[in-house]
Amino acid sequence: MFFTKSHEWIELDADKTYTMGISDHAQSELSDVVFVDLPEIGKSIQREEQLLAIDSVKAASDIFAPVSGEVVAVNEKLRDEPELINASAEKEGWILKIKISDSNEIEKLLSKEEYKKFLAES
Amino acid sequence: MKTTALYELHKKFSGKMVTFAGYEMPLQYSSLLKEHAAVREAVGIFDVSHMGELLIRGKQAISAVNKLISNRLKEASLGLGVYSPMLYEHGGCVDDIIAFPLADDEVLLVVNAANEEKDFNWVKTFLAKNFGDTDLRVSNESDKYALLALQGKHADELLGQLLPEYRPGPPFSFGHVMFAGANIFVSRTGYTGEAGIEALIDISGDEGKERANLFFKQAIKMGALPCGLGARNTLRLEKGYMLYGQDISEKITPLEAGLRWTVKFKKQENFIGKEALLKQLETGLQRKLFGLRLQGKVPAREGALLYKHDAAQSEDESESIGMVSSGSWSPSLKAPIAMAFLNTEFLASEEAGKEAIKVYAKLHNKFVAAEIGPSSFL
Repeated sequence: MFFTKSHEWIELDADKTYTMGISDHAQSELSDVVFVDLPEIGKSIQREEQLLAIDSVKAASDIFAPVSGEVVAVNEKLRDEPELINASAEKEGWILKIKISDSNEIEKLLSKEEYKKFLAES
Repeated sequence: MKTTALYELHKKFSGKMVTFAGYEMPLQYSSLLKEHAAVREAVGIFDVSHMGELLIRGKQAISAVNKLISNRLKEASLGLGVYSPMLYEHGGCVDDIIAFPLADDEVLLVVNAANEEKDFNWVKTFLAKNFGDTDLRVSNESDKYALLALQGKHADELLGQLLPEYRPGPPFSFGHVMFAGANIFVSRTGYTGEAGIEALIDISGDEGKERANLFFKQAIKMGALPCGLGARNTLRLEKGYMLYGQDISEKITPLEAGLRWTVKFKKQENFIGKEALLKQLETGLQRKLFGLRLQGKVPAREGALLYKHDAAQSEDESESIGMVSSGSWSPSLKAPIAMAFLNTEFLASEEAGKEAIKVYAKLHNKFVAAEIGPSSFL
């Protein structure tokens, strides 16, 4: 599992396909999630660009693409149960799957250890 | 950064602290939704010590305050406070406050934290200019008090244990009640729309600080859930209570905000802003505050623009017919709600129709239908 400084995670699923979500830290900052603005399947995305928005009771927050590629699946469960993100941000509450266009981009992400260190320092 | 006398306690209860009006305040403890539900269905306790307290003393205190605020402050013997806007000459709001006539020569103003300095200077200048030759003075007592709000459907049952001497009176009634060896000021007020009280506790000594902490801890022990500013906001929004800086401000008059009931044109004293409001009544309002009930699940936030139509016809921002001033998810209704200012020209037009008026809010670049109604949602 890899992380970004903007608190998204991705994990390799199958060849070139990664599942992504937001970190447990991010869900706790957002508090109770009420809506996830899931993008359309097939949407092409650019690393670090805005990918979707999550609405919590508190505020709306932008979520950024951790890598470039194409959206190949979204977690349909989130349409009815957005609170899955609070319950299990790094597992059941995954948001979408990305087919990565350049695998080298993974190197720019943080490992779990590095992300933990980043959180402790920020 | 300022902290309240309960800061350590908030951390102990895992409060997530944020900066608000220069104070480090708890945004939430357990979960905003749980805290909201606790107040609607049981009892919650809030530390709102960031709020400011101004004390006006002198022989003509009540009549001076009646010149400063648009609502009517009655004589002290009735024991009733009043919610009121305090206006500029041009009719916009300096603040919205609660005034308590403690005695015929003593009035307490509870003001918004972010406006404390501004209000103090406003009142001080007003008194110097209009009552300079009298004994009337204002003092800023904000650092002297902790303000704790015990609110909830079952607040009175808990108060029976916490403050056995307290007898619930009508809204805005106030008095002093014994707690842990001292008299504390208790008013029948709040920002949640549920039963309950707000308690001012003098914290100028260590004993007072302990007393304020004890009040909060005992309330929790007796079943109140500690609640943060997040739940305070969703609770007040559901009841259509104003938030200064969003729903009312220097640029918004009480008439536009639907606070006509707080403007007493016929009272004896000429209050600041009266002329401007009378003129506004005569020429008609350009915009008015309404409640919005949105379709779907996306909350509209402050600043979201409203349109007559969806997508195609109105990409241009100049065509917007209103703007959201406060919006959130309503935990009670399980739907997004908002307060918004709408152009009165649109409301009077044919397009608005005669039945339920529909508008479209632009959220995340999509147009979401919303129905206009009263700004109180519960």
